[in-house]
Amino acid sequence: MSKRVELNQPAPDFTLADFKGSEVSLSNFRGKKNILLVFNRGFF
Amino acid sequence: MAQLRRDYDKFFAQDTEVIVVGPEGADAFADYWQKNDLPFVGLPDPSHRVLKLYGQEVSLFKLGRQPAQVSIDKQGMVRFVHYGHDPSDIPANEEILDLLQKMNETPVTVQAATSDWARNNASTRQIWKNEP
Repeated sequence: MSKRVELNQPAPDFTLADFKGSEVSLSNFRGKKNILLVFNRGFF
Repeated sequence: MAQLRRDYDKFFAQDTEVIVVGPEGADAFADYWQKNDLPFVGLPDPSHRVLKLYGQEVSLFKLGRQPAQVSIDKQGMVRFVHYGHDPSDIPANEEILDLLQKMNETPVTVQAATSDWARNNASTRQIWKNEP
């Protein structure tokens, strides 16, 4: 089983390029927005 | 994804950004976003870096990845975690919106709780709970 995130712990930060090529980091939203992070099984 | 799209305004009203991470490439994301007019942040993760970081389950017996949702507050703390046990196992928007509202009202870390829902299902869910 892969590692899972834990409640009431800092969310692991990451940076990925969005599909338009702009870099998005989770930490960019700190102090500004809540985040709902959605992992889907795939679109198709 | 359609249910999230429907309630996007409500998430926005709760100061919440919806970020979708998936194993597809940028072209597939762009295509899907355009077809469905999605306002979310879409992050292709073909190398599975973030998918692994957040422990999204891959089940060989259930045809691929299982859905997962994580809510993170403005302090960067994890406040809700749901790892689904099959592709249709995703929490209702109402439940998440209710939680987001409480997160906004109570921006401190309090006791974790495992919900009755999670106890009665094979999936894993943890919800931050504001104990009186």
